[in-house]
Amino acid sequence: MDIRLAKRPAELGSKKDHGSKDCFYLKERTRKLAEVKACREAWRTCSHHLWMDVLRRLDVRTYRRLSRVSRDWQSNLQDVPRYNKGIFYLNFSTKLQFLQFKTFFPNGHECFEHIGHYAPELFFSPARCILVHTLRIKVPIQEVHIDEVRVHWEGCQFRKLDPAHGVGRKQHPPFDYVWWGKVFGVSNLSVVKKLHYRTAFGAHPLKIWLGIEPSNYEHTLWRARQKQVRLSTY
Amino acid sequence: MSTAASSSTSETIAEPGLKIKVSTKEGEVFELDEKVAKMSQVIRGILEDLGEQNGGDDSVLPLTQVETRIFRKILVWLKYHAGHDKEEAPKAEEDEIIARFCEEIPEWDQKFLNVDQAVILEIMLAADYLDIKKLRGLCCKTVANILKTKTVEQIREMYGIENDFTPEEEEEIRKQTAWCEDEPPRQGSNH
Repeated sequence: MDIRLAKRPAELGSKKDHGSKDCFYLKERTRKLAEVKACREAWRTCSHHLWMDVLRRLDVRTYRRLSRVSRDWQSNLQDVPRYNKGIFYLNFSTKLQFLQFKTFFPNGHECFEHIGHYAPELFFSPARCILVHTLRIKVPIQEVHIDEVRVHWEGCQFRKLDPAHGVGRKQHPPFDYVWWGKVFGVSNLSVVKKLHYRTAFGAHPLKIWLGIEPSNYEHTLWRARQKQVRLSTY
Repeated sequence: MSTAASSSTSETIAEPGLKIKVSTKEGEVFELDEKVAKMSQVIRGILEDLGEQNGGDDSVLPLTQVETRIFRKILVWLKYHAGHDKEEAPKAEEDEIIARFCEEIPEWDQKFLNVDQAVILEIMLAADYLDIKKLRGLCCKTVANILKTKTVEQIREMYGIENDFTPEEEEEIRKQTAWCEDEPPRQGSNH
């Protein structure tokens, strides 16, 4: 199709309008500027408690991301009572993965849940799911939750740029407890303190659950088979 | 929508009941049904203070902080929800927390709030002033949804915020939050 024959959309006005006050782009620009101005004005008049109510409704990722806007925003975001803040108790064993989550409510109430055998995908959503789960309400697992974790995981697969440590080699990905801490906005420190000694088993259930890696059990079988093959060929 | 709202100011909702008169910042007077008016906790409080016997007289409640154009929009929302909502029992604290995280914006409200962000903020302010919790919550959620789709730079631009971090500090924060910087998100949003 010859694009020269394409008809100029009516809403753009006549070409003769270009530069005049009837120019579509000029009108659009003026409208947008007015909108930004009104938006800034409305935001300035917004009371602190109201704004905090907005921030309280953000998911963990956005909440973290927006702390870079300015010092005020950072401090406001830090003041938001995050009901999903808590301590993860992860306990890896060779057979079972126990997961416990403690939630602190602002009224001093603590909710301690042993959630070891539930669908792990529930934990991967932004904060609300863990909260919902902790309070024993079932929500459907959405594909986006799993996608989100996959994105996180793939983000960990960056390669080393430091020539002293082998350029092009994959860095060691964060340990699970670091990652879980990030996903749920729990400070790494509290997680590390609680979990460091428990992760010596080297199990990576997240990857297995996500299907990124085969389960340890299968891997062990595979290694055993390889060993057998080697022994038999020897 | 404003046309619908302006024409509906003189309409009545189903049952003929007590009429409440309120005036906006510009002095325009609106006549509301009692049920609609009492969805605002502020108006409800004033009416209770005035007492039942004074409710039917010609006194006008001044809403000095609400502009007419915003009040018209709020009125549309109030009238719709007065007719469609069921009475809700007060929620326990835990239920409120859940509701805050899980609330989905109903389709009608999504359409209602599908306006410029400045208007949403003004509705939010007015809903806060009038103490209409549900509308306030919906506006907060909508603004939060808008924030989710914006980058840090876009937010600075949108609200006219100056970046007061030093480059080193910003870099440090950027490193800490690198794992969540790769969006705008994939989840559906109104804006």
